[in-house]
Amino acid sequence: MSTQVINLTRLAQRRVALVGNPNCGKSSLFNRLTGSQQKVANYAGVTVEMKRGLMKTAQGKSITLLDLPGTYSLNPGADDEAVACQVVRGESLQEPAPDLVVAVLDATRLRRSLRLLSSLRGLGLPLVVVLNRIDSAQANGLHIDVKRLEQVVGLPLVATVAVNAQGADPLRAVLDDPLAWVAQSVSTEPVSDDEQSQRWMLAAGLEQDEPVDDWSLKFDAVLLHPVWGSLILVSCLFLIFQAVFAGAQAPMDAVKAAVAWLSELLAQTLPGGLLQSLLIDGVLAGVGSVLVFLPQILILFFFILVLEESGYLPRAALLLDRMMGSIGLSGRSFIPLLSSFACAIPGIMATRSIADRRDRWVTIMIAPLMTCSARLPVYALLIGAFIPAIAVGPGFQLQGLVLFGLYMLGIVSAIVVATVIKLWRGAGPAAQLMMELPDYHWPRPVDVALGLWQRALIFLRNVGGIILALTVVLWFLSSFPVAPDGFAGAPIEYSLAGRMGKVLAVVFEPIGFNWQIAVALIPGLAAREVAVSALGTVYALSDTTSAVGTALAPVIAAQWSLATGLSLLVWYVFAPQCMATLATVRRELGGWRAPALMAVYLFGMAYAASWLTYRTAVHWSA
Amino acid sequence: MLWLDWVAVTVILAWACVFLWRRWRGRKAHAGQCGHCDKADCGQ
Repeated sequence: MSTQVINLTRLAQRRVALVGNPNCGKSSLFNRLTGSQQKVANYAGVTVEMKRGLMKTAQGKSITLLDLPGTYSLNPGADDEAVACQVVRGESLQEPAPDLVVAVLDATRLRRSLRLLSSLRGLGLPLVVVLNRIDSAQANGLHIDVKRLEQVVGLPLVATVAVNAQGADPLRAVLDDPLAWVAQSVSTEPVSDDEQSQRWMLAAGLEQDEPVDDWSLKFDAVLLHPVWGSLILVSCLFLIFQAVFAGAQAPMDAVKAAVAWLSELLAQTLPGGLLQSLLIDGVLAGVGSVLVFLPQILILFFFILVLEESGYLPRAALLLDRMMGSIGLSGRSFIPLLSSFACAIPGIMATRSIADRRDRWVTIMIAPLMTCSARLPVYALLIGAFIPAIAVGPGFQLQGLVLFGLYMLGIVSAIVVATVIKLWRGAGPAAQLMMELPDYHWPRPVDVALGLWQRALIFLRNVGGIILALTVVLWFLSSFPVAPDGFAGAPIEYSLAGRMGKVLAVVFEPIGFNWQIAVALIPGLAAREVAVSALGTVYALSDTTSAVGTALAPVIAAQWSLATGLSLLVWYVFAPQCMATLATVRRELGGWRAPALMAVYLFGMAYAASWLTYRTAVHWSA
Repeated sequence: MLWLDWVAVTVILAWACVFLWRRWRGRKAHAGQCGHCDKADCGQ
């Protein structure tokens, strides 16, 4: 089990754990109480690790709050559920049992929430009950008498709406009550959790919970239809990739213009020399080349956030369950694979929700084939340089189509790899997907805006951190040793980076990569988008007459063949150009065998696919 | 003012090296750190 410490300088003594079913709103409540910004989404299985935060009660007392992964019972099926169960039972080696448990009930799924509450009562820990999503229950026609339910369960109960402030203050006040910290006595009558929850429901006058939402049923009839649903899913993805190119041009031009203006300003104000070269050819050419792709990343994540908030994504998982089964995986692999489109690392960590070891191993192995957001700057650069911006149908651009094709190539490759593993290691036991479908929601603009803001911050922090630092180091390696007078060729060819590139180019020559690309691939191992900034720096130092800082795409379009451009695109579909991903695989699966196997098979596929692409393109061009 | 150029470049380069070193050390300590932020699980 692993834990994460969030914004804490000092842990408070008293510890409270939030426990509840998946997708009942624990993380939203955690964020509300602690001021954290943990990932929340409208589907089960978002939290796979325990998170800690510091909260204040109404009287200002500090409490450590633990956000545990969702669980349906205290008999765990998967690793993430096991984390929650071990902590509340006091069986965790890393975390002592909490002093108090806040049982978070989902008011729209009351019966199964009460079943878990019944199990929690048996632990002998002080319990406070939170009835969350009370607004959704009322909107669905389920009227819960909160006072009566509190009397029936015999525990302090607070009704909340975790996505807004309602209920947070009464809960803070309850935690100031010394009686809340005393465990209630439990009846010794042997009653199953099922029966107990049924008794509570009847006693509270709630004969029927989970009212049926007609609109959800109508939407599901279409969106879960094997034919129409699949068509809608593919159309959604297709339109998203069209929008990535169609909607981003104006803001991208603005970023380019800003970088060009800054570059011009520095050229005029600084005397020619080392510092000017570092700032213009190194920092601006490198960092500016990556920064320009921020609008495209934000457009992509806007759509992902909207789909996530709406409740559509778990439907897509259900839709793909049959196809997943045919390649030896369950639909439960869908959410980790979907997370991998943002970044393979949280995707790989999300596989903890997969109970079957074999399924989990296969899902981790294919997760890096999903196109993470770090690939987008590389794809956008190469597509902008080599694919003409022409319409191929009403409203469809060729560039968007190629981007869609690259994403699909990653998905198809993952299917092929999973099938091969299935044939190699044999199919695992057939496991049916049991996934709770959340209600459809209109995405809240505030949540989408916050998600985009966080995404932009992550990107900018990355640009101002690892990319900037690697660009500075690469500038140094590309500038020294200084070429002697009379050296034939660009000075960078005499530099350390130039010489290393020329050695590596021998390996990459069969797949059409020149020495500049070979140089860019090395820092690109730290993060994929660093390759773009590295290309910007290398070409700025190779050709002092061109304004690479503002326009890398035209420079590479003029200097590379189409075959080289396509070969590099295909390389990035497969190559594991991300050391952090391999480190995560090592941590999740224990030992270096799995990440070594992953690196070998992905680099092998990348080289083979690039070779095939390059040779085919050269053949056709001839 | 060539020496000023050298001083500025050396300072920036030193910052880059220290940044990368600290990140490498941090990554070793918390293997699995996401390449896109400084958290163990950036929650993307």
